[in-house]
Amino acid sequence: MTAAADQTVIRCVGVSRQFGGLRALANVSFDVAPNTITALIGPNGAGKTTLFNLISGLDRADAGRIEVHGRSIERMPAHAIVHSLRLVRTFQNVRLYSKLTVADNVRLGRHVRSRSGFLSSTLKLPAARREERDITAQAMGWLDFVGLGHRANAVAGTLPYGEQRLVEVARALATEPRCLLLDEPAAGLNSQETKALAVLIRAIRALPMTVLLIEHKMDMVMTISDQVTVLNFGEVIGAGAPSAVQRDARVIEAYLGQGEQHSPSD
Amino acid sequence: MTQEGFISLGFVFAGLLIFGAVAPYEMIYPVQVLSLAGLIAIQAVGLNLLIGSTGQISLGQVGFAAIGAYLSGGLLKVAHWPFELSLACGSLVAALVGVVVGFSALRLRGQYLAMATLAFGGIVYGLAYELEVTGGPLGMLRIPPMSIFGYRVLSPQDKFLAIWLVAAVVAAAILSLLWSRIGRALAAIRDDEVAAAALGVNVARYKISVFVIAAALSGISGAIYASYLGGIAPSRFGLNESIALLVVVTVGGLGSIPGTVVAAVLLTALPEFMRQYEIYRPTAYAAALVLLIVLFPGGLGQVLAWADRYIVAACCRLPLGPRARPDALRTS
Repeated sequence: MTAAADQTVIRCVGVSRQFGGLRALANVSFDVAPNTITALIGPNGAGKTTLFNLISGLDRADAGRIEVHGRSIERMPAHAIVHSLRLVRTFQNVRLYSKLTVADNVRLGRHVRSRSGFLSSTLKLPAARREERDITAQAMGWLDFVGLGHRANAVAGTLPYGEQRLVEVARALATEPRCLLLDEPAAGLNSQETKALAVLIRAIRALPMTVLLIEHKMDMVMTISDQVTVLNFGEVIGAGAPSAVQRDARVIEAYLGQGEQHSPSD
Repeated sequence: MTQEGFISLGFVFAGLLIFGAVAPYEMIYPVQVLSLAGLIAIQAVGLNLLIGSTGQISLGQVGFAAIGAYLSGGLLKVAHWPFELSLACGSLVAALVGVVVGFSALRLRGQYLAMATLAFGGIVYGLAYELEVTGGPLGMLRIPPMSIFGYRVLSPQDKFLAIWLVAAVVAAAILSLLWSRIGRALAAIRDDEVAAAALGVNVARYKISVFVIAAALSGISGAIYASYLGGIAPSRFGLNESIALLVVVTVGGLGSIPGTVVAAVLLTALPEFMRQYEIYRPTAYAAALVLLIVLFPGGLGQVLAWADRYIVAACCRLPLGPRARPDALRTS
């Protein structure tokens, strides 16, 4: 194994997942290299979110192996993957705590990096107070990073959709991940917001961070991705640099049907 | 998270403690009724932490109180342990049983968890009723009174003060716990378990922990109850008592600790002060319950929250008052 392969952040080997009669993922294998933006694309129902659920430990594969930073996640609960493997995800349909404030949502992201127990939290011991101040400072820092510092005290559910997505990203970043999984971050954003998001995702990669992203907006995928993996009916049908994938006959067929001669970005 | 209503709750506690301290001997009856309300408040606060903070339901909560009561009572009476130790032991064992029940509860949800905890309460009741050490259906009598560092708590006023001091400490501790990273995690678990796990919150650990805290509080309440009354019987720890706790939590408002305490006082006092209506009492009590829930669908906690906002707003208007904004309470 080469040195580069050793650093692979996410490695899926022959991963399969079946829901009753539906084969959501079949023998999926792919690697995600460190400090890159890798896009996972494919038509609706291709199994992209299922794969995210498996990698983040919210669902289990029927067969195959998933490794994060070289460690198998097979027996790891979801919270341990965030805590120990430093891999965190966002959700396709934003899962913010809509009744809590924006700041509290992002503070929740700090939970996994803080440790005050029941006793010191209840008695408000100096260590717990210090930690709580640190939680707030860090949360505010990440809110500023996504450009929403001024929204800290707003109730999360009252924010426009685009801002809620950014809060979710800030909350994920607050867990101090080394790898960030974004599930359709640009869904529901207007073109202005989508451009800003592309800039943000590049800034996240520069932190440095490995980003794996599910996205349907091809313009964005093709401009920001270092690597693209294409899923169709639960199978990997193409992988490589954006330009190469755009020319791949099988990919074009999956997106546009047989006989069409346009690239997916058109 | 800060809980709105905690300022008003402070006034309620202050009022109760002053009442207990100055109540003349002729007022022994209300003092005794409100003492029981304090014991119920201790349990209900734990139950509301369980239901309101993690969405787990318990229909057998007084089972834990029974464990605390019988164990502490037995240790006091038979082994002649000091009260502090018996109390600690009773609540510790209740907490340990809470670990087991809480662990089983992880796999259950909604009505299935309700059924399992109902069964737990039934088992404890059955054991208390059938076993010889517990005294069977007649129960355990002549349990020594509370004593704190050698001071025997004998008069109704002293018992009242002791119980409400414990209740105040318990409520303050739970409020403080909720106002911390753990409180945030509990709120997250209640609203969306999957999202919480995806953020690295150990959902199972917190769900069990909350079960244990609720069990320990019931155990403490039960242990004090045994010494307060001087005698206990299985009938004091039946399904009705668990349901009554659930009613207190509902009227108080799910998740609201201040509301729970006030509901415990109100719902314990109400039927006692309705005694003059005799046969209409159950009907009147039920009507009052319905009225409370219709008037305050968010629970009494909502009322206390309004009161808090009023107090804060009033303080802001004072020329020398704190420069707090009226929304200062909502940002934690």
